[in-house]
Amino acid sequence: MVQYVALNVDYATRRILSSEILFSLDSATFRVLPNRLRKMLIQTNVVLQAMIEKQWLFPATECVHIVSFALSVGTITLVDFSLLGIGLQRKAASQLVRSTDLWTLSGFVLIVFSGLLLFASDPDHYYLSSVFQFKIACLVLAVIFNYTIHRKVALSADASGMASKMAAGVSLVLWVAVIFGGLFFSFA
Amino acid sequence: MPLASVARWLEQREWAGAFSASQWLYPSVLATHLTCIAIFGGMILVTNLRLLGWLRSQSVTGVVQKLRPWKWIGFVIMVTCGALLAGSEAEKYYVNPYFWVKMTLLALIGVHGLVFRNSVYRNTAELDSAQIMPPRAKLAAVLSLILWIGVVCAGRMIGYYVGPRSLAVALWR
Repeated sequence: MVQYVALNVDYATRRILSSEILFSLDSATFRVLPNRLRKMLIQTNVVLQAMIEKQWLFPATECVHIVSFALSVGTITLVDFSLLGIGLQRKAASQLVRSTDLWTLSGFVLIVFSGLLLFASDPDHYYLSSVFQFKIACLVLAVIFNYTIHRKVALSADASGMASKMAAGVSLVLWVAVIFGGLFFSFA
Repeated sequence: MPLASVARWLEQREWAGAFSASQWLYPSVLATHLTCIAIFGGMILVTNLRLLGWLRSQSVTGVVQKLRPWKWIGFVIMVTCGALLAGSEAEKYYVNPYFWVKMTLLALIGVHGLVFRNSVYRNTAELDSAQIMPPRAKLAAVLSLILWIGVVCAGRMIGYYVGPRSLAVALWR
């Protein structure tokens, strides 16, 4: 039997008072999900329950998130720096992209996985925040840019041309925007 | 001079209160700290992966020697941000065990750099020609990874500590 929490109580109090942690039918996130997912989620939010039972799970997931973005964003910025002529040489860029490919991808997988767990712990708080939406928009743009234009430029033998510098610049700006967005979101 | 009174003095500075309460300045410094984790932490990760024998396309000399000045620049930026963040709330950091764990790990990283200096970090030419990385280089890399990941995690946990003394201080204010 599914229990419904009273909807005229403010969000924070609702979460504290409810002994069964629910995905409220009033939730904005809930409303945009497809039906099958809604049926799954109408029962207890297992991620949130686990994180409340074991207090260390949320910080641990955040640490996984941070270390995995150090891995993926770090390898990407290393390529960017070599495209800009900083650090490793420009001609190392194509080899660097090929070698770090798997590590960058693993980093992305871990980021998305830990990110989804963090998101699931408090869906509305994330989904409704414009700062978070900005972060995800930048993330999507950054990932797409990384696997299309950035990759093409890095793999070509264009020695310190404008294309390299511009691709590196755009990539750096996008990833820094993701990180800043993530932090400003968690602060507000 | 006892550290506790230095911490109290620091937190009472005028810039400290304004800084830690600011809507955009404090988060910006923290975000810069985090961006440096991504960029320079990434460089350190890549160095360690190369010392473990992966990322063969890059020479050990390249990742160790060539990136060294950039790693130092990153370190200076991080320490500056860290000093601003910790200095503006010095008393709360003084009682925070995670902060001291982080400082200890950073000190151990310094020791690690000295211990492996001659066999690994100044020995890159020999490591370049090695088909299989020698055990000492791999040990250096594994220890470095453990220490740096420890620093990042301890750093994140700093924000989660609410100690009795800091709570009393907050209430008293």
